[in-house]
Amino acid sequence: MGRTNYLGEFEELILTMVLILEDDAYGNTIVKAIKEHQNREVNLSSVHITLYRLEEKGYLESHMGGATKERGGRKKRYFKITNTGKVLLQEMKDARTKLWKLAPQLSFNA
Amino acid sequence: MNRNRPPGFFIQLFKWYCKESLTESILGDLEEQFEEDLQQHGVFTAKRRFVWNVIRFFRRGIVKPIYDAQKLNIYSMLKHHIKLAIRGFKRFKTSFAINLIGLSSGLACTLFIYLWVNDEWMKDKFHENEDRLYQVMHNIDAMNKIETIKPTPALLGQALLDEFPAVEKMVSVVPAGSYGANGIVQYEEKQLKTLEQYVTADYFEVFSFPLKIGNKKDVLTSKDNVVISEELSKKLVGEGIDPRGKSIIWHKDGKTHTYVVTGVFAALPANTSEKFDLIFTLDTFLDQHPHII
Repeated sequence: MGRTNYLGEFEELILTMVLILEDDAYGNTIVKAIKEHQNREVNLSSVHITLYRLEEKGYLESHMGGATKERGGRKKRYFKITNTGKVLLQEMKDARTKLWKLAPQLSFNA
Repeated sequence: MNRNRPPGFFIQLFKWYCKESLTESILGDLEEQFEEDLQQHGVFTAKRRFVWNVIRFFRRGIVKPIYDAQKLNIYSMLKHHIKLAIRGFKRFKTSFAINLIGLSSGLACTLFIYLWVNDEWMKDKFHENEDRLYQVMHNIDAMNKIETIKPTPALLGQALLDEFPAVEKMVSVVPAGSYGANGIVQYEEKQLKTLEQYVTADYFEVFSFPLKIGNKKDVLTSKDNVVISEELSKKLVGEGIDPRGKSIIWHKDGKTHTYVVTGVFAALPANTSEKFDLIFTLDTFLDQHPHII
């Protein structure tokens, strides 16, 4: 993997969350999903920054929509994972599995 | 102001610093968060979190670039010019050096000329009656050419005053250093080499050399009067001592006379054209040089 294909831990987390949330992936739902699934508090601004960075790298795409009475009538920016993004996630998962296979059996009784 | 809305100032602040393409969606997320907090934690916490989030969003990637496109062009143009100039300097070193030396010395000369002209204009401007002061000079016939010189006959001054109604006051002066070597002033044991000037009685009324001690109308009434500078008074008599009435001895050109100090003048301004330490009367000069009329 080249330098540009490298994803940080947080970037990977966000990308996975967008994948999980499918059609309802935007800033707030991602923050909530991370809290729910990982019990981890993340700041909205870091999520946004990461989303835009992933979009720039071509792993995500976004569109505006869903103006409701809440949120002061403002539109949401929905994110969707691209095929490149899916491939990358799969690659990362495979690479990790390969490494785990090489590791000796974990034993917790020592 | 609606209590159940996020603080307006921070909405404006966010709109101000955020990239326009991102404002809508982020602000929407923030407001959604706010509404949720409002229901779960109350107004205070919701507002506090909103403000804190707005502050947290002030980071790279969200904040507008400082230069917009137009300013960026000016900036890059400037960079381009500077780069070209530096390349030019490297390529034509000799002409660069000549230009640099020429321009800088030219600029330096201009500045110095300005300072000099300014200094000339400031000359003698401190006199109160500066606009009414005139120096009478003397045209002489020198080898079929007219030459203008400063010395005038000693009698001229009085004649002008008597015969020309436009002349209010007249002062005749033998300027310091114009006659013979420097004199030596002596008081008790102390001796100092000084510059003396001989003037007529109205000198301190016409020119604005303020007197520290003495009355400008009568300091030069008698032939044996002398007015000395503040500095000379300090050196001869001592600081803070009134030198009036003290006798000083004046040695010049092998002659010695005794004078009585009648006044002290303040330090001369830097832009004066006349510089002197002692003022004697013109009459005493004429007595010592009887051949001058």
